[in-house]
Amino acid sequence: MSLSDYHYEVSHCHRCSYCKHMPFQLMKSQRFSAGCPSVAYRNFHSYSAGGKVILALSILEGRVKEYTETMADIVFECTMCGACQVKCRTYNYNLNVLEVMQELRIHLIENGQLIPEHLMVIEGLKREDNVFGEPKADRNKWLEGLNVKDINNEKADVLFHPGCRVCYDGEFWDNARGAVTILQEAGVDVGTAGKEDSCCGGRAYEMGFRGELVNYAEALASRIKASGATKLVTPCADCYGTFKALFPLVGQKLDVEILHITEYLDRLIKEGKIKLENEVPMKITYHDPCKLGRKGEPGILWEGEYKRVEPHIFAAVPEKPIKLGLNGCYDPPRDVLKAIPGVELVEMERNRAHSWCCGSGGGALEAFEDFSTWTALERVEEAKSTGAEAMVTACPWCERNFRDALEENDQKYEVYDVVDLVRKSMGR
Amino acid sequence: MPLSMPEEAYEELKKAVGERNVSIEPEVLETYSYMNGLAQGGVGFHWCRLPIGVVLPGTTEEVQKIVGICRKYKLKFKAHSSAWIGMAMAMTGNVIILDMRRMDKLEINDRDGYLVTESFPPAGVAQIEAMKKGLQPHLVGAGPNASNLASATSMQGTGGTSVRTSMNERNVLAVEWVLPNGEVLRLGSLNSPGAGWFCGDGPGPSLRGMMRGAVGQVGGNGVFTRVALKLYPWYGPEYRCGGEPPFYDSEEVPDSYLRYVVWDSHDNEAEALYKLGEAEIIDYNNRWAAGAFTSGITTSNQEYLEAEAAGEYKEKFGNGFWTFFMHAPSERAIAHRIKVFEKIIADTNGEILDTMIFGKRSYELALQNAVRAIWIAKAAYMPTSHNTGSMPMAYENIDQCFKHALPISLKAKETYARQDKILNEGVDNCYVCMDEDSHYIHIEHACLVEPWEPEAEPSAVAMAGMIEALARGIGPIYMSFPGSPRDMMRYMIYMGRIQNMIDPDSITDGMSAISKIIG
Ligand code: SF4
Ligand code: SF4
Repeated sequence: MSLSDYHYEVSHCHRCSYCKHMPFQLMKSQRFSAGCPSVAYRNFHSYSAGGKVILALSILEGRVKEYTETMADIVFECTMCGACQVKCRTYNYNLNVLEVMQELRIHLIENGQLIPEHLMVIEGLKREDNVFGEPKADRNKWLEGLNVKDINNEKADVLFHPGCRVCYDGEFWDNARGAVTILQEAGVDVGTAGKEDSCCGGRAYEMGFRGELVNYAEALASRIKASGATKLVTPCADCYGTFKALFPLVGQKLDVEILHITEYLDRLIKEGKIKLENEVPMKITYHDPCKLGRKGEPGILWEGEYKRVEPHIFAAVPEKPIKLGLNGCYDPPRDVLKAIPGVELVEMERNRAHSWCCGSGGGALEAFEDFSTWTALERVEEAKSTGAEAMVTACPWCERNFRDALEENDQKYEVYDVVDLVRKSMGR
Repeated sequence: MPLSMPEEAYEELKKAVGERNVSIEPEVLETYSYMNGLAQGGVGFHWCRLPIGVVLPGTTEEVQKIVGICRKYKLKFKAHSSAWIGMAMAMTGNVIILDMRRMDKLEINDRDGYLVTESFPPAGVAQIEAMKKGLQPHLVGAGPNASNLASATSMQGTGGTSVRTSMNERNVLAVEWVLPNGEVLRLGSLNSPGAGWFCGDGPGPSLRGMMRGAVGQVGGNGVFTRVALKLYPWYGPEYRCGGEPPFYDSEEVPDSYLRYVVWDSHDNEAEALYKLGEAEIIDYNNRWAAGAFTSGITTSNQEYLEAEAAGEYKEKFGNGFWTFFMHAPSERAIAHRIKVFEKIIADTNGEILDTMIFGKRSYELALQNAVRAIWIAKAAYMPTSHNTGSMPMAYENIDQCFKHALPISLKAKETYARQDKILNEGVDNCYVCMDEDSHYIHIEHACLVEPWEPEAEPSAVAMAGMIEALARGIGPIYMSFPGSPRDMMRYMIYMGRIQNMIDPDSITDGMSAISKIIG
């Protein structure tokens, strides 16, 4: 697909602005009524999903002829969180804003309108197979001292994919190591890809670089095939969403069960293979990472076109999958938290399919730091408003962004990963 | 007159509101020149005139500064909030759009039963905050996404709650208004130091009639920055909803009653509306027909086509159906209202239908509309995403609407639907709601059209409806214009004179250009 394949869709925006707000059915307060970080931060209509759709129409109809920095700002100062997709598709059959925004990014890149910070990421990725441009040789440092199978040498039932953030951010090592150990103690046959381990390609794709996703998807698919693994488990929501939702869009369906670590822990807890015995007396709230929740909805490659099926009715033929963030991973992390003795879980106003983004996605963290920080602090305010003493999430990117935003702004608030609390409860 | 933003004006605007709140970038301006449906003058489906700049004021003082800069450099201006109408975009050249998003303050005064809102807060947001205090505002028919201030001061203002909350113009208390000369005018009690917002008619000046006339001047009178609006009781608790998109799961509203009703003839339908209005028992109402219902209840164009082919909705709702919602402070009060309601419906040969008639979805549509007016937008746009409306759109007494406006638009639609110039969704897809316990009703006929359809020609329907309406002495477009063309002209002359007084230098980019010339 290319942007021009979306001409029909982008000429069907209602200009209703529903994409900017929480659904009015679920909205509970003015304070947390915003649905789109991008337009809430920049305020011009241009930055909303609807605005970007109009921009796409304008490009396709030749009204704007040059690719400019302003255009790139509009398109890329957005976390690609997909909240707008759920709101818009509820009311509009003829438009899938998230797909349009993705194609718009790719279109800009193809026409030379690059974001310099993103280009640096891509160059580093090409060189070292990770989004930080760090030495590839350091990728498995987090594993040192652990006794884990290397699937290049022996078969394992579960392939554990840590993701770039875990591999290159020492703060997450204890947690990742803890997760692997817990799985092993529960009798799971775990392995990693050893020196072959690499990026999933998801962040590059959302920066507009489709080719990187295609390459990494192919590489992982062949690794999995060779390993004989039946499950792919990751502690990173970003990678999870990439495997589940994005790989199918580039024609790569992994022949394996894809599980986020919280899904797997939930399963093992329910099967009695993991026992959570220690009290963790805490009132917490859970932040749904976008790519675990609404963007964890399994992707389906649609190849078709809008056709006139009756006078005045054009329809996607074959029918296009409806993306509303259904079937994302919402309950397993909550169920794990609820299974921990002493934990009191309270919900934020914007939750599940309507969760407010942490601000780190879509290349915003890399190129629009102020926006990313502002988005994270908005979420922290929402978490605090519940009375919870800590916010728990299930993605190292979210956790990193919350922590950095708090620190940069001299604020204090506890942020944990679900696995942190599981480890506390297990005395690890 | 300059045709792009003069450099000096741009610099002054940046100083006035901060650099990040002004844009003259072509890509940003593009996104302020699109409207769905028939764009200005019926010339196309999407594109309107480009403004020369967009500014985001954050305070009344900033609005004053912007107006001053516009005057200095002879630039026109127009303010908009949710901007969900072609007229919210630039109508002429040289226009600066004031996007009011940053003016989003909202206060609920539960002791005195009113809210004070800046220009932006959507009506749905105001409703959520008001409901926490056992109150609720008017909700405009467009939906909860539309600004409460806009429908009160500047444009239309009828909706499903109007039967109880009236047209929003009737709810206006004190007003803060930046005039086209840049001065702030405070209407009503706001003009007396310390008197607050409680009254629109004094001790300060009362100009609410001149402020908007029958319909509103859509930006032609300057910028309304704050307004106090009367609130109505909500007998609580707050409406709660959960579950998954797209239809969600509402919690039941205690001491309420929600039903669909159909009648066997327009005469009986009209008769019932008079009686229901006189009984003063209804809290939310709207009429639509099978087309809108099918649009609301389905989730894709394929599903829409399947539902149409099955014909179930058309069979039941083909000649229109009503949603009625009543809400009372006690079990006894609601029981009384239900009795009155059932008698009126029985006396007028109506049929009361459970809202679950077509399953959970049909119940959610009814309830979420009754409480939040939320599905109107989808019902009005699907499956083509384009609703150009047909004429006449009327705001009149019940007889006028049912004996004239509805049949005229039905006839026009039927002719053009047969020729595939518009979507044939069953012809009657007329939206009606009672206002002020049925002293008036508003009638507006959906006319769906797909711009990619080679035969599409919606403007012909509008024209046919307008010509016929004029011939019968009905206001062809919009409400409260006196019937005959001569009376209508008189109204426009009158409004034009007011406009010339308010904006003698024609600095605003309102809808009122024609009436100003006539005036
Ligand atoms: S993108 Fe969707 S929700 Fe946003 S304005 Fe357009 S139609 Fe409405
Ligand atoms: S993806 Fe998120 S930030 Fe981007 S336009 Fe949609 S809601 Fe806004």
